[in-house]
Amino acid sequence: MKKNKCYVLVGVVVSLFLLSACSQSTYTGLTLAKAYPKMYEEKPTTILVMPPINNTEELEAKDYFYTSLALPLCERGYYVLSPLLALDFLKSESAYDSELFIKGKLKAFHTYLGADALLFTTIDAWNKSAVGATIEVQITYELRSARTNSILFKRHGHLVIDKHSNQGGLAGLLADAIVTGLSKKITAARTCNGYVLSDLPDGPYQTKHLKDGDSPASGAVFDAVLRE
Amino acid sequence: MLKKKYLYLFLIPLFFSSCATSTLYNWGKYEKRTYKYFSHLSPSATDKLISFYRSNIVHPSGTRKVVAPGMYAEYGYLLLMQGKREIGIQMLENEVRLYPESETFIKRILKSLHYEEE
Repeated sequence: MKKNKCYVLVGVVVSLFLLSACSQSTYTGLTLAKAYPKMYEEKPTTILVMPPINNTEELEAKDYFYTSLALPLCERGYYVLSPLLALDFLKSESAYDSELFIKGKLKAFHTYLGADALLFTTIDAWNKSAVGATIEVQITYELRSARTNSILFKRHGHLVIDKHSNQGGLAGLLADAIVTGLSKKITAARTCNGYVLSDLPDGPYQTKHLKDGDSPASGAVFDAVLRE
Repeated sequence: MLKKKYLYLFLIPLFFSSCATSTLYNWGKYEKRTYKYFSHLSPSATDKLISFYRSNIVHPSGTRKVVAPGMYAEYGYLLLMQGKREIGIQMLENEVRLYPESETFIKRILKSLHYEEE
């Protein structure tokens, strides 16, 4: 009987460990409806991801983020206009520079492309530690309505993505070396997007669309360490 | 008897860890392939991306069991770029059929490629 209890206890401990990996947000008392009320008023469905504004010396950071934003937005339940098609189209229309539009009127994007909202990202810092074990990012995400120009969702802050292997010593160093620098950067951008957009209310293809207003929100400003 | 006890070790974590498993769509190596396409713009990267789409659209999975937003559109667009007009347009039409909210965008893309009469 005692052995049975022991097995249950081990099972519960393992479960709690797994659950701790499910959620990274801390409870602030804020709800999604209070933090992002315009999302519930305007109910955007279709999102155009604008090319990121890159204020760092890491020239490729723009591509790391641009190619990793559609997936988390679709998984939140939104329709995202294909970044591959949109980029070619924006270039052909000389509308590639997000700086020109982030403060401007966006109605044309709704009229001509059917976008309800545009996602702007501004990367202000991308610093890799000397051994590449951590990447530090300062970034802003801003979802603006293409119908009313209102800010629907905005979060900004600082993230440290800890890429360090869980293995210590020589084994850890070897494992780190196997993962190429490029893969690390792409997955770092993905981790960053996943963390920030986890606060976005669910879109129409998710079951909790317009029903998640009482869910806890992390709020507009973030400062976190994410371990991969 | 011993095996029954070990079941606890597997069943309890499985019950609690269900939060981490489901996605709406099957993405496979989408991000990696599109990053390589954008950063290299080489025929090889384009071929690999096309091959990725071809295989992805025949195995839709995830909880929605449909092809992810943009996949048909990107596949069709790249086929059009390679001069494969009929199948390219067919794939773009599939995108609109599956996601009607894409219609304005797809029409605009076809117009920019001078396929607006199709």
